Amino acid sequence: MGNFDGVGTVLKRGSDIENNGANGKLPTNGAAIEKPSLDEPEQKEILLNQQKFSAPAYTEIRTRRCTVKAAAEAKSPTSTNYHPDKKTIFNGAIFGKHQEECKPNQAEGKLSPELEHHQKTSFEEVPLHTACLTYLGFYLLMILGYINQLLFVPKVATEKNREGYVALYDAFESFYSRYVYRRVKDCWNRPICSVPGDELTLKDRVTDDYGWSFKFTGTETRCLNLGSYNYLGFAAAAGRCADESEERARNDGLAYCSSRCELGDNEQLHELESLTARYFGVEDAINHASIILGLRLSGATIKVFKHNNMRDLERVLREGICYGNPKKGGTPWNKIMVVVEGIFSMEGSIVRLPEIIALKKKYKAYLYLDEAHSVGAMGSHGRGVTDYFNVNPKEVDILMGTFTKSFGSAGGYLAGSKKLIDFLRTNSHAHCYAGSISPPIAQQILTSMKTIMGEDGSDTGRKKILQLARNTRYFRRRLAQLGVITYGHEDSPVVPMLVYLFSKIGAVVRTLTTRHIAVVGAGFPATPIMEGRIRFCLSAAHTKEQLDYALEVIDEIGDDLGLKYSRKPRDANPIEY
Amino acid sequence: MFPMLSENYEKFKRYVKWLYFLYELNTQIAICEPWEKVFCNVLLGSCVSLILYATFAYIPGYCLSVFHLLWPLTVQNLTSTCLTNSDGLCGNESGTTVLT
Repeated sequence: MGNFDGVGTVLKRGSDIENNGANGKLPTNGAAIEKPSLDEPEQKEILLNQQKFSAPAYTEIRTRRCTVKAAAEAKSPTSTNYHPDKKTIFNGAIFGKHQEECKPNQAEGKLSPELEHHQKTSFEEVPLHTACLTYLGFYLLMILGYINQLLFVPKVATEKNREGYVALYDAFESFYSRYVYRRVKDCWNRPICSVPGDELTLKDRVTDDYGWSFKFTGTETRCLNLGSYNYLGFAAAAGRCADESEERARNDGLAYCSSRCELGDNEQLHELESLTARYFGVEDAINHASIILGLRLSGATIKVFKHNNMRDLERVLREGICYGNPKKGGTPWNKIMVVVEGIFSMEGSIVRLPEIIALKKKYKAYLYLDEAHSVGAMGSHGRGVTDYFNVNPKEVDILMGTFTKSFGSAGGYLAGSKKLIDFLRTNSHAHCYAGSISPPIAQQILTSMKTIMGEDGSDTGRKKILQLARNTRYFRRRLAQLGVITYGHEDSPVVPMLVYLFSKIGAVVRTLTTRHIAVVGAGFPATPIMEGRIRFCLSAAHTKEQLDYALEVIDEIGDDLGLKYSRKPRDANPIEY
Repeated sequence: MFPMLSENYEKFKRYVKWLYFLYELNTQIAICEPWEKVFCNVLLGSCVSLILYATFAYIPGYCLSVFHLLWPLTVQNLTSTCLTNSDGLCGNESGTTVLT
């Protein structure tokens, strides 16, 4: 995409660099370097940066406000002093001042759950012209892809001597990944070289042949991290969790090399399981280093209901009960289980838990709640959506979650009644065959869980939860004020911003990278084909300055790339933090 | 005065380039390789020019009336000689047309 021959110029803190074409050539005119008396390392850095920014994938889009802003900045100091490149040392999270005044992350409970859900969730309709353009754009890309496939040989491995065998590549999937995804491939799977906390260091890479291969330029970019699932900010290389994990690694080693049933069981894991059970308010919990059991392994029949739509769920439940199992001649099903997620990671919406529990009780079904994203991020005590809706966690039959997101570790857990967990301990594959969790990782979970619960003696956990709730509300309201379309519930820390067009996903991710913000874009097939989106994941480790910086940049980019699709009325008052 | 003009000219050029960039982004040509861009632009340009030519060649009357609607100051005949116009169109001072 970055073939802005002459269009793109890079504004690098005051010096204007003219961009000569898109093949990584250094600019020939020496107008860039103003002061002739720069010393060696600085000149080298400037040269490297020029090389980085003159390659096609990183050409910055010339925002119209850039020049105006540069002129204004020269006269008066900026409002926010934050820039990811400035080397300020933030050890751990810095909390906002007025902690006591903000309300906790909890469902209000004044209106009925249905009304409250409708009030707080927004899924705005796509504007018609954008929908048409998206479809036409995809048709165009498909046609170009077919022409490309006809005329040129792709740079992929080809099969030889495979007559009679199943083809190695699926037809549509390989076509899509070679001719559509490949064009913007530099926006995904980007290598990093620092701990992904509130800021992160990206290794820069450029592509000379439009996405077939990548080369490292040798430079790194320090960016604000809006892409990691670091909800409570426990992803840090320093701090209490890291120290205790290191100590545990020194004392107990790195792995037990055995499964739970044989020699891999130890006191630490028992402590972890009982702590998890206490954390969720259920009878017992089991955890594994990897939970591979899936719905397919169980062999159950799967029926889908519309996203968060209670009437559709009721319809599916009624049909299941009325018609029974068609394969067995209409006999009733043994069990009907409703499987939902706490926070849907692509939509940013929250499950309607009170209504689902009411339905479950009415039709005597079971409920499986996957809280991969929501544990730690929702609720006034960080216990997940059951805490958020003030619902007794014993009413959910199976609670499942991961430790990778809010706790900053690895592994997962299942929580429920003692009978269920005992059954799982005897019958699950992972308990018998998979290795147990490594000691430093388990220690990280233990420390972070105790911090959240407040049992370690400080109120860091409580502050983090409040900080996350505050950040979420502030960010979502400011985005709505800017005029971009975001999906999801008001209180969910996953904020998808809709850009619809495929090329816009690429343009936004690349431009944000040059402005030192790292985000994740999502398109087909992870999302519906019409709805390409940029997903921001907020964290308790983000400060107000960082969010303000991000919002300023998003504002500029929204103006320039045409992302402000929203037709709702915009709040004119300044939003308080 | 001259530097201001050149500055405005620069702004105008940048504006046009920005519009071209938006067009590229919205039709998803932006992420294509140069030869694909040339191909698509030539295709679109030929379609547009074909439509325009067909409009001007086959329905000149309507073209004229639209033209007069947009630029009322360039109306040809303001006197009564307009009644003898072969196409049957009549233009008066305000630029509206009356078909006779």
